[in-house]
Amino acid sequence: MHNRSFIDDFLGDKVFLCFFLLIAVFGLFVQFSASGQTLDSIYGQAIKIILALICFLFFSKVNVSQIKVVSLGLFIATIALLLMVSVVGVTINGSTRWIDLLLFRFQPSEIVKLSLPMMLAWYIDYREFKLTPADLTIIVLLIILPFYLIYEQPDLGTALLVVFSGAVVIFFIGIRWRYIFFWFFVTFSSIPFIWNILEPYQKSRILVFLNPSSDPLGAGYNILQSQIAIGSGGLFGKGWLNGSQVQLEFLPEQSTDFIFAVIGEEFGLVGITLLLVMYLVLIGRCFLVSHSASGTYSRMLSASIAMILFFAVFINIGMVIGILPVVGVPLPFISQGGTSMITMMIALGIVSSINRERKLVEG
Amino acid sequence: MVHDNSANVLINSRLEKLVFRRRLYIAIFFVLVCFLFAYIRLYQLTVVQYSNLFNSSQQNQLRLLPIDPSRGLIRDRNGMILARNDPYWSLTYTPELIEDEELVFSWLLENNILDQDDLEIFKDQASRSQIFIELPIAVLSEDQTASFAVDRHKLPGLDLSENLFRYYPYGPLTAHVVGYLGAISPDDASRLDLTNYIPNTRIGKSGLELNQENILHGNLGRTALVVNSRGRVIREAISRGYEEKIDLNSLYNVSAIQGGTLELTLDIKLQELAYSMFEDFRGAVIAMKPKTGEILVLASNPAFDPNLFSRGISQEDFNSLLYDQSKPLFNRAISGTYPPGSTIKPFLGLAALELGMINAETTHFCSGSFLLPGGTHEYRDWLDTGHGSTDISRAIAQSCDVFYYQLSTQLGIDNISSFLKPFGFGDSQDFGMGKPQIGILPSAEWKQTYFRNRSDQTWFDGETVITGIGQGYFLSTPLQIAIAVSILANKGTYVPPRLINGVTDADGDFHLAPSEKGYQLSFNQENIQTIFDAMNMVTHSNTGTAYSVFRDDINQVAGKTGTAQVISIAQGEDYDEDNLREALRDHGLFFGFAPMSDPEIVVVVIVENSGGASRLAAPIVKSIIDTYFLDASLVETNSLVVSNAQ
Repeated sequence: MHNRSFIDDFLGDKVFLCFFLLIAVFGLFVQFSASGQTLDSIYGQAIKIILALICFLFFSKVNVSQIKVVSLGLFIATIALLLMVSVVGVTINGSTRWIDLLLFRFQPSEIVKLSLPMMLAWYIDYREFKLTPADLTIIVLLIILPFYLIYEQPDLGTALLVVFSGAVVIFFIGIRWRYIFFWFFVTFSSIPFIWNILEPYQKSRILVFLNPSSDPLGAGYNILQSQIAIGSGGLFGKGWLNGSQVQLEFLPEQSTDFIFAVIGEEFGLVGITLLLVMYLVLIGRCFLVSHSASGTYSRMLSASIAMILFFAVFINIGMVIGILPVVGVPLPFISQGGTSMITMMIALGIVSSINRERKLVEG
Repeated sequence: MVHDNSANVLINSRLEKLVFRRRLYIAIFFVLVCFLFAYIRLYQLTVVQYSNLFNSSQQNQLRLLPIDPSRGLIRDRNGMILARNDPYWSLTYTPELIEDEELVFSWLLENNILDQDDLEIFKDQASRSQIFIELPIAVLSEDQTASFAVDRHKLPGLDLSENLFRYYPYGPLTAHVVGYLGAISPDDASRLDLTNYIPNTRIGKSGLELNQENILHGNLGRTALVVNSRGRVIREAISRGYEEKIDLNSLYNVSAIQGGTLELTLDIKLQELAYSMFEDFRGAVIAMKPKTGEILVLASNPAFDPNLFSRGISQEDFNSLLYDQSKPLFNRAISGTYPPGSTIKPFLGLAALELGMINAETTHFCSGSFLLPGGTHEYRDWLDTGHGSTDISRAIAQSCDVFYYQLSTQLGIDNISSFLKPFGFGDSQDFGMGKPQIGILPSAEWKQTYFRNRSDQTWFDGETVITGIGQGYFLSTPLQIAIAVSILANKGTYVPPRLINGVTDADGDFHLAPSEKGYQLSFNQENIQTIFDAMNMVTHSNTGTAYSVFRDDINQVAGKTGTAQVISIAQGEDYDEDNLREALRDHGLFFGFAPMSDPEIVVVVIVENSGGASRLAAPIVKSIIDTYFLDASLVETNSLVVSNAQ
């Protein structure tokens, strides 16, 4: 029926594999520079890359139908995990996001970014596209539930990403524009209400985003320093391990949320461009798979994964370069944090599997 | 599959795939627009704002550390060092490097570096400082430095830092010439370029240290230090390859240029000799070479130890200097004004000769006193019995007052003052130590501007009479007398005084100090010879007033004695009877120059309240001149020996 080798099958989608490895290995170099040039932090990150790679390879072998079957269960499980976090979670820097599994810490909210669109895609597929306003309400509730649990941790960045990951599914199933505009209207008109329920630090982040120089040593410090780092890198950067902002620790959160500034400072606009191209390849590949995928579930899920990856990249970069307010969102495959990377690679594994099945069908 | 479209919230479920693809394109478009938007922002940061943001990153990480230049040395004419910079050690404490705080504190107590009270103050200070900042603890004595060297391995976090303090090897001998240092005061701040100073720099406060501050201080350097976000110094910027990116040499890395070395005309050996002869008297000595204006000796007694000021003088020490009745801080040589007394006589004699009012043979009869025509006030000669028939030579040699009462009346005050003016009386020029006192050259005109009260403004003939013997309003500094004598010794050539021969810059190149323009007074050489001969009689005629001192002179010293009657200094200074008596004693003055045939050296000495000139002033002049020529002959002999040996 087809003449692809076992190796081809084993490696899954080679575009995902190659570009993931390119980004992740580049990320190791950046991590080394950002974390005081110590190897310790690199080992941990390398192990996470290997784990993510195994997950990718595994899920690219699993059939889409099997994945589809576990969608509901996985969603219920992640909601349960989120509830567990609020009870037995590990608190770091004032927010409770992790479950301690002795060997490593595990962040359920990251999984929701994948399990929610899986759940929604499954639900739409299950309802065979006969969606009534009641269904829509259910879908909105399915989005709001994890959003609320994550927002309470508190982790606004991930919570927003979860909302986006759900919203894109609704968008892709072809909901009428009037509903979309209705929700935009509701969102905008509730801004004053949302403003009131925001934590003071979140308010100051937004105010500072609007005017970073208003508080250069306080809330605006992160933004100014990361922009100084990127701008001072110029076209070609100051060279690996040579970024003064990085090495002298002027950058906040430089091995996690602000790692993009490290890349900018040490590798310049050229380095940034190469990285963005690699992300675009991954995102575009997902769109491509989605475009030709057979079946509602496959289409929805791969398109949503493309958008999730996009949102993660864009929100992180947007915050570092000062076009979006500061929300704690890691840069995929580069920032420290294993759950995010593993979840993203499972997602790409699923897209790889969808692609494999399409080829089988077409072949 | 048939759907009830009206109840469906979706656009068209039958065209699901088509609708999906349309939405997919919208999403892709959205993604691309967002990336483009981000990219524009990135371009703006890395290209458009590059130089701004690059500077910001430099400012973040670079701190400029000022480098203090070492202060220039001061040397005498033979290269003897009069002011230098010596190292001293102070102990510093870096909190983050301290391993055993208690051990360190007990060590400090054991070695008497801090006492218990100071330690508490220090602990408090340390607790409020950043942990990586070096805190100074105390200045160490040599013994303490040695014991620290022994124990240092046990005391991580303590370190020595080397500092410099100003040291004057000759102490009081150069106190008035060289001056001393002090902290920058608010007054200094307005006259100094503070960007060239580190705040705790000690600057010149008097003498050459004050007036040559610009040369001695040098130029502040700076180096860039790389600091991290908490301000901890990581390294010097120059040590790592930042040179390509920023112009470190011009902006961030400027070497300090050490101050220039002042090469003085002073001869510290003669200076030392002068001080050794003052006994306990107050007074001043100026010795200079008339041909070049070089000042060899500039001494004022009593002096003080300028080293007391080098690391900050205690209030107690300072007060004892300030309120000492003998005014040790006062530089009598250039700031003390005294009546010139009889030392003015050769000048006035020359004036009368030049103006043709007398000639060498003209005699006046000295009966011991003088009356103005129609006057009743008796102006007495110092010799009650009188000098008898006196010509100009005898009048100078024996210092006959009546002759000069007669002469000055004949000359009139206008002639006197206009003749003396080009000799430098009543005026002064800065020769490196600021503008010296100008004294008073009295004249009818001077009196009009000096007194506010109209009735005081009239010049009386009686005032002319006493001006003739250098009394009355007449005041001059020892320096002014030395300058006037130099002109006389040069037979009319004025060479301005020089104290700074030149400056040796940081590179070791010598730059001769620019010399002020002099001038030439033209005199009839016969008249000059008459006065010279008369001044030779002062020292070598057995009736000369300084014969007793100069009877065995071998250096052809000519000179003139003077006795300044104490008026101003005696009044209201001291009411203690014993002291009053001493304070009322006359000032002894003497100037001499030698050899008379071709004068090389002029020495002026004033000794306050020492009585007659021969008592102390003339012997000091003789010693200095003898030593000067002895040294010169030794140098000659040496070079003769050397040239013979070759």
